[in-house]
Amino acid sequence: MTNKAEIPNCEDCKTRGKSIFCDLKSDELADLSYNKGCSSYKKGQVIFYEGRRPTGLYCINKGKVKIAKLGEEGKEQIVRLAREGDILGYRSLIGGDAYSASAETLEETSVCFIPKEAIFNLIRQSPEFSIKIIELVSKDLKSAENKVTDLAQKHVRERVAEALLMLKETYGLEDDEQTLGVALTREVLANIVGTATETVIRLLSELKKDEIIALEGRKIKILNHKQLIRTASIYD
Amino acid sequence: MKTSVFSGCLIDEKVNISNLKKFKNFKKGESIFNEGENAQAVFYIYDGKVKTLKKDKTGKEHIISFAKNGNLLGLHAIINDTKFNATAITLEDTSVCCISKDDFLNLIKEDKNAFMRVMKLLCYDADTVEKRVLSIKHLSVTQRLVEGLLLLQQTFGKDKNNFINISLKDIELSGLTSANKIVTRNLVKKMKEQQLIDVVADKISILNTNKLKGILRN
Repeated sequence: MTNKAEIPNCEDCKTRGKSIFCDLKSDELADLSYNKGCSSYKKGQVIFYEGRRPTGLYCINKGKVKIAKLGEEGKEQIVRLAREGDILGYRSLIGGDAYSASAETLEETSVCFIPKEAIFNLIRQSPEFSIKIIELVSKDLKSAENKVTDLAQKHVRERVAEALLMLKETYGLEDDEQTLGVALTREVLANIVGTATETVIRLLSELKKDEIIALEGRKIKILNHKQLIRTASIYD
Repeated sequence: MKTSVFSGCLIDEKVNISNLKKFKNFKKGESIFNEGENAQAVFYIYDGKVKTLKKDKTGKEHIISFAKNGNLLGLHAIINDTKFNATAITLEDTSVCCISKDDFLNLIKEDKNAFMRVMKLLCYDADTVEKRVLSIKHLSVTQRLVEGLLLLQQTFGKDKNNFINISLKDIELSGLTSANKIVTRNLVKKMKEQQLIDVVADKISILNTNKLKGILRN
């Protein structure tokens, strides 16, 4: 059971400034609001499944989502994490392909759904929107290319540190300015890094021993940001 | 030309497109563009085979993708208005059409069909490279080699003797596994001994697809 969601108006949306819809004109936004739907999901619910055909575009109004593939051996491989204002599944929609990964909520989340025709109309009619979306896919491609070389050189410890920095980048910090804005199980962390859960547990306690982070259950505090960056070997 | 980004607009704008492009021939092993160079054009592979790669700090090559007839290279650097993010090197004699940055951007601005085709190509490329990222994160070196060989066969097809239609050197294979050359060479040798693949000179043939795919599931 999901809570009944009110359909938020795109024009008043506070996350729109961060999204690909930021440059739309007010009549285009009115169209978007008119055409879309919005649903609430509880933690752990699936928004769409790998292998299904997309019928539109999802945009996160509030909440957190993980995008993951099922590996050949049945193990989860987390492709990326998404936050408010992020769109989901746009590459499959535009490419005309089935979803290459599934989207599952990490907490209570509300997601707007914009039907396919509305998106394709926008691409045809709004030059600003079509530029935004082609820039987005170009950036995705570039960052994937960079990861190929980056990953191959890194040890698991560096990748764990990097994953923590990525979580901070995506979800920010809580009010204490130390605690990561998302609490994940060790298994999910392992599926982000691409290693065994035991290894993540071991490496987190190493980082804790070095006083780079502190652990409180699933919550992780970054105590020494500079040292964490150094551990991840991100110099550029 | 059927699969090409220009297949639709060629009908309406045959003359325009032909005027826009410049034809260039590259010998095997030449670079079409290099990582870090200013991107001034996109390159349409008319006939040939190309690998795109990035080098890490130690100078080791990592394969980003393989490209063949009908593929466009350098797209996202032009769209993001940045330098080339990878190096493109021909795997055999290759002829390409170069379309200048301005001409290309104008084309996709004015022709929505061309725009959509370019978008689709970019989406496909992003998916393919992201899949490589996941392989490096989650698969063993052996599994990455298997996946790489299947990818090569899917991209370039087979010749009449069932060999993958491309000459492969150690550098391409280790670029695919992201492991060092000796480790990769030993794995290739082991797979040959197990009669999963056959290796003659620099050609490889997949003998047992099912068993190879089984390795991916272990």
